[in-house]
Amino acid sequence: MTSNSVTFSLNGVDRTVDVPGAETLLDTLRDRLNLRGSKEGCLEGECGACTVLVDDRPIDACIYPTAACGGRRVRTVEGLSDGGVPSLLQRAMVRSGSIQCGFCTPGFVVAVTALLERESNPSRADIADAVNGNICRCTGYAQIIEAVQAVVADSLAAGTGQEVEA
Amino acid sequence: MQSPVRFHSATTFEEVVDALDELGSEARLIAGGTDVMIQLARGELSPQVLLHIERVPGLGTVAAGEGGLHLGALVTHAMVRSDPATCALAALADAARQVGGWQTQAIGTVVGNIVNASPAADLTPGLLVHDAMVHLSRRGSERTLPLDQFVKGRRETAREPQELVTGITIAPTPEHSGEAFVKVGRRKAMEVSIVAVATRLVVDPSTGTIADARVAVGAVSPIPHRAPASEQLLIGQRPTADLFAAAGRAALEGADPIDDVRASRRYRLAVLPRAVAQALSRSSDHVDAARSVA
Repeated sequence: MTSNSVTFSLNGVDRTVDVPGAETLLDTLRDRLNLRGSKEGCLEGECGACTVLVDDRPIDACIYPTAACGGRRVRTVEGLSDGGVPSLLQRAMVRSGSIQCGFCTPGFVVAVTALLERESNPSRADIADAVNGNICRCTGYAQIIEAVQAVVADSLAAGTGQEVEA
Repeated sequence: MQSPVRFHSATTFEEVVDALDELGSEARLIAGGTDVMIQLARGELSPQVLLHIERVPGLGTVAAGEGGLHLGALVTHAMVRSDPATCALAALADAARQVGGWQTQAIGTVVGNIVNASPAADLTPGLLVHDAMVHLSRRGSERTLPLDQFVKGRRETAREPQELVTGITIAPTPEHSGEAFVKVGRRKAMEVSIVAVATRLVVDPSTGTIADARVAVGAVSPIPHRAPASEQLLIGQRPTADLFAAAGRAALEGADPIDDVRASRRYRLAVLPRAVAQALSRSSDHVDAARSVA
């Protein structure tokens, strides 16, 4: 038997897939589960466009086997907005012009979400470090980092973590 | 067409050693998979079974114990960055900080980095300056090897197909020591090293001279290695910029880099002495900083 039946939580809902042993989580998400927000960029764990959270850790889905995800909690960019309403981070990125071609954007949103979940007041260096595995060739990163700083400043001002209304 | 691979996620240590005993080289061990999955996709590996060990309990901790600090096989680069015990060891922590990006550091393991045995493995130089020992287990027996005997060549180690590397132990750090890691790449993040250097100096506070010196270099030969000519030059001397420059030049002995897409052999040979001198200078600064705190 060379396929694996794998059940994991995907954006809060249990899903079961039957996958070949070496199938990547990215292929499973995009081609079996129709979630195309995670992008296929380099396919070598270099560009971060496919970043998803597995048990709250950011990983490159293009080089992570689906079969290793059994019983784990997978979150993709689709699960980070609230019923289609963009998160504070997503809105801040739109406002600050963090997006040009948009291909890398989902990966940045996921990586920064992981940062903000563990660090309520990250420094500029912390933010730059958190996106060091995400490559953007349009914006030059400045607007992306500014967007994160804006979300952090708003959240701290409101004193309510990420729940503040932008 | 790639032949299908069976994926087996082990949940106990016994399950792993039993499967290795049965399958030998037909099994490929996988933890975070950041090297294995890429090599599979490129067709460089074709195992029958991917033997997944991320769920095996007891392998994921950093613990101080007899003989030094033990890093289990599942200790990730992110853990080396954040654990207070490894954080204090700049030759390791700064290397872990510069492996790939966050996504690689979050699940990529230190043991995976040495077992993969890339000439450019970033953790290996720092582990060499700390006299790392590699622990291997198979069904019914275990053994321990010094890291410099474990890595045998490019992508080649002393691990038998039936063996699991369970962890590494690094020796206690001497007093009055300072260490550093210097990586040369074209950009700061997501780089495979062009040259990597780890150094550690112990300075005798009564004489102000170097009592012990460790220099290890990576990406300039098939195997990351210590540079004994540099070390011998340093021991017994006072730390100065001229001495560090000379020790840097001495590191060229034993360096035999390749031309590749990242850098030419000529560039690597030009930058190596400077990278060694810089690492030594930072190590020396760290000794001074530690003394002024004490």
